[in-house]
Amino acid sequence: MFSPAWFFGYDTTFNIISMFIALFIGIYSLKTYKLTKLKTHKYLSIAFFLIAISFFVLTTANLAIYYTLLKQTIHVKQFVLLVDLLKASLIGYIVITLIAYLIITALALKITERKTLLLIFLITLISLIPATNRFFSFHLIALVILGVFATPFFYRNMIEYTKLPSILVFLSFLFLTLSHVFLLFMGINSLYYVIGTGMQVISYLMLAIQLIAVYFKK
Amino acid sequence: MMERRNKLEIIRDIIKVIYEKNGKIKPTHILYKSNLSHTKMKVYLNELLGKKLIIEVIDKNNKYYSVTTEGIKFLEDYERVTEFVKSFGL
Repeated sequence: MFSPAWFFGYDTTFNIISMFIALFIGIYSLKTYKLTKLKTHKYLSIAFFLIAISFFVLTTANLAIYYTLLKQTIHVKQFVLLVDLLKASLIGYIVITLIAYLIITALALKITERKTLLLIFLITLISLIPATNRFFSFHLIALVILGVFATPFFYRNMIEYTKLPSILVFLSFLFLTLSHVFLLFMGINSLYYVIGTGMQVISYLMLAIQLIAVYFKK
Repeated sequence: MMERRNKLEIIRDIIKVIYEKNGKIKPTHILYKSNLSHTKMKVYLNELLGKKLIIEVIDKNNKYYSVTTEGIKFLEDYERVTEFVKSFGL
């Protein structure tokens, strides 16, 4: 939708890579939960599973568009159905991603009160409803959640812990935050979409390196 | 003041103490090094024996504890998991 023609396919590939990385982190977090039985580990795994699901939804929508556009002729009925599917998928992607970000932020800020969490979730999701440009609102909310709360927390953790995995987690969230800055302006210039999507996959690749660094540590 | 350890940390400490003593240690040494009361130590040792993370060895009428392969694997997994969750600040 916002991608320049030459970038078609690359964005979907990037999303698939991010989806698998999020899935593996979710699986590893679940493994830590099984060992420690700590709820925080369970919620971390839920957050990454949700991110994987959100990328799956986005990828499915993107692939549906590409394959339809590749066809020579499109029936009006087919086109209407595609637009509806796309709208539903994008809203699904936005809502699931925001819930995942909020879970990570709640873990970082150590918010345990269920009512407080529910309040934050509802305020965030309700703020999307009146938006005329949902994608702009989504990237703005994501930017605030990650930039104001999550990333500064991971920065403090990196300073305190000073080991490669914590540095990678901080850099990953920094790139993820910056990706939302660029994606915020993708409506103005499609180049911002390319940069934002690129930064997003880099952020997930850093998490993959973090997982590899931990897993293969001697 | 020492931070209060959770159950998993105590189990890790006991296995680590045995492992660092070349995989074989007397119960009194465990008691001394793991900073536990005698009663609590017995509870934990029984649990570790039940989970086959350690085994009891009798040598020249003396009782020793030794770490099993599963025990070493637990220790490695625990270290990895700790590193992973600490990198997220959890």
